[in-house]
Amino acid sequence: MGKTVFSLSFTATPLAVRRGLLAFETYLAGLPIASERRDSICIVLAEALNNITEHAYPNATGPIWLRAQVQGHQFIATLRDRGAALPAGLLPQPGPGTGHSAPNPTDLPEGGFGWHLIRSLADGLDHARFAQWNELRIIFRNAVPSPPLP
Amino acid sequence: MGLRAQHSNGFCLLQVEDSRIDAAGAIAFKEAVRQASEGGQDDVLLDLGAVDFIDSSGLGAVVAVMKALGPDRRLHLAGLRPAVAKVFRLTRMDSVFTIHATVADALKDAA
Repeated sequence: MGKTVFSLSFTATPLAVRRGLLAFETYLAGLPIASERRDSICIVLAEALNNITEHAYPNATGPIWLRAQVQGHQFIATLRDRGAALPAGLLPQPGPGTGHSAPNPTDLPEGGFGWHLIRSLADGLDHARFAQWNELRIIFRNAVPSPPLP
Repeated sequence: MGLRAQHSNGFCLLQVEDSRIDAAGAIAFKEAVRQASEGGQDDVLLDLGAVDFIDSSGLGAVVAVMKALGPDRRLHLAGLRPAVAKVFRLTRMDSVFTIHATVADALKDAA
């Protein structure tokens, strides 16, 4: 098994995000997480990173810091950026019944899917603003069948 | 964006050769599909068998491609790998597109 903590910082551009995600996928492939769940984790991370690139740094770019690790049965990813604060109300707890649904497919929207995918696939989201930094903590419960050996 | 185009069984068959349709490649993807499909009358069959990953920007690009084809040409998708199929399913876009398990299935259905 690969190392259990992943830490990487990169610039908030689409190409750097792609490279960061490829490194993250390599790390994830070394963990005892089912491939179906790995797909979900990668989808959520991609959308969260795209949100930072598009909305936290709308007119410029800046640093993104990604850290991920297994904690018991949970897989936890933490993203930090120094961009604009996340608008209030964007972050209800995920899961059914939160009043947020996918865009109506018959409207054929070309956007608005990102947060829907995050809410659908993550089990917990915590956002905090520290000084000039956003910190988004994303929790995937029961991702790891048994805690890794010490 | 790598895209291989051919005509087969009344389809304009476009095989995506990149492994990701993501925010870094969505615009190039739209442009490549537009160039490969413009001027024709056939339905477009997009072979996603080589695509491991699509994000919401990539999904938006596929929707844009469908809109650009207009009302008389359908966009068919084939060969969705698990992570790609999951994104289409969760956004309910699997109800909007005509999705075939494989390119061979799509061609057989059309024959």
